[in-house]
Amino acid sequence: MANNLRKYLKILGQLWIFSLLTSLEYRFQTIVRLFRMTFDTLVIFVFIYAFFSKAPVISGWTTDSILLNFGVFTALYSGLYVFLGNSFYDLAPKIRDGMLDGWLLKPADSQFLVSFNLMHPQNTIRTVIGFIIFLYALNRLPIYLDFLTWPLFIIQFISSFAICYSFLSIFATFSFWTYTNDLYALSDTTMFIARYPLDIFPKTFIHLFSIIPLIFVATIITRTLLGERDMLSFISPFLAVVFIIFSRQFFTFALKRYSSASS
Amino acid sequence: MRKFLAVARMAFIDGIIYREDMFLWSAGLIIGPLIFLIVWLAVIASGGKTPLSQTEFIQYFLLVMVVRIWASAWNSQFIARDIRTGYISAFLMKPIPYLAYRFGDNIGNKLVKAFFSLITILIFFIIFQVTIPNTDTISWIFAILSFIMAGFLIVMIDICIGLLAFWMDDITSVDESFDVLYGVFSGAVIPLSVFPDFIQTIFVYLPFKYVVAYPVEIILGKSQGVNLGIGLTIQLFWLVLFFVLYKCLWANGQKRYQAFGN
Repeated sequence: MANNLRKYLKILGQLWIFSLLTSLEYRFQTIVRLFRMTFDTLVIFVFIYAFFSKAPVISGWTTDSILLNFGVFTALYSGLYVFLGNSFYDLAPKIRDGMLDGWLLKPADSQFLVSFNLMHPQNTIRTVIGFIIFLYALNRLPIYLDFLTWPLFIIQFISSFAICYSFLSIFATFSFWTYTNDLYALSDTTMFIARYPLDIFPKTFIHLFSIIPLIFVATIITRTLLGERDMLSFISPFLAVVFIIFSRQFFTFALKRYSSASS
Repeated sequence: MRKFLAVARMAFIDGIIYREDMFLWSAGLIIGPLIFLIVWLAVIASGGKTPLSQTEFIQYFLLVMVVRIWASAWNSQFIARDIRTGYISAFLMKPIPYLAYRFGDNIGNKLVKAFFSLITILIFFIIFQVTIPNTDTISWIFAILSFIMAGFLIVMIDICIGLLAFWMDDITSVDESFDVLYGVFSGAVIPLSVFPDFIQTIFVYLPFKYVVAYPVEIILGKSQGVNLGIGLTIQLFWLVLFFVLYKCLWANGQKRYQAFGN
């Protein structure tokens, strides 16, 4: 198992270098993209500050706690996209053209290669901005600290990473039937709901976002730091395992549908 | 005109074939504004002071959804790909101007998307119990005029961005930068009246507002009298400017263009 782990970390490293060199091929584009990412992340930060500063408390959330939630989401989701990049967006064209063989025939796990073959190192800047916003908001808030807070935060953060990945992977896998990435694009758009604390939405939406597990992406994590724990606070690791297993089984099932250009 | 309609019909049929994509695209178009609407309603429900009332916010965002069905474009990457791969050579020999082809393709697809989007928007109208704004007939006429110009304007901007591929290897940075500016300054995400007055004055002279927010502002009675005339004139100015820019880019781009067989 240790050997396998080392092997996949090495492959991940190689894919990272490949993606970095590819992005540096068009340096001007990369610089513009970095500015764009910084600009639009900061614009959303300003928007959120402008929205929520108009009311002192919204459904129990202050402006600073909402910013904390935004920081958690941005750091987490952008961090995920550093590794995912355009891989899932590129899956549908590869399936349509029968060109997925190049990745399926390699001596490594297919889902792993399909997920991480087109990374976006540029998203690191968004991740860093997310962490800065997180630290800024954390500094302004009275954080509830006991022996459980930080370990629970770390476990929930990692679980959220896994849940987000699995959620996106499931929708990307539908490309084997639809031959387009529209469903994946829709799932990606839907995830951005989690940049807001979901408690501010109407009750029906909160129940919906507990089933589509958006509430576990950032809201539960932020609640933990603010000292608000309930049953949902301890569910995310188990949910992460369930989602990972399901996404894996679904991908394996979908691969049976694939026929390559030479089949 | 016949050729234009033929292209639009082909795009319409293409859209019908890929109706699942059209439905998903329509859903994606609506989710963004819907989320922002719910967030704003939460702020108002918590006693927040906002420049628009709850009713106005609901009307604004649902009208934005309607406007965005028409005022949307997605051709820039396809144009850039055609130029890069040499496939645009085929269009140089077609008996239809490239602009007319792209407009026809855009409108044909939009008719299919409109079908799915309008059903969804109608459901939201019912759920949110939206009332039609009490606007006079003249304002409706000007709003429709502005609405039509908005659609042509965004397509012109999109085509101009795509034609930059005659000079650039990859237009993605320009395309994405425009998307960010569009998102912030068009009013699609946040009503422009939320911004401070001096920033709103800057928006008046930029093209982004006239792609989404301006037709909605006319319907909501936020642009009347002299301001209405000025706004429509500025919108027309941008439309003409981007048309002239298209002509320049297309003419000069063809001089630079080379492909196998040329």
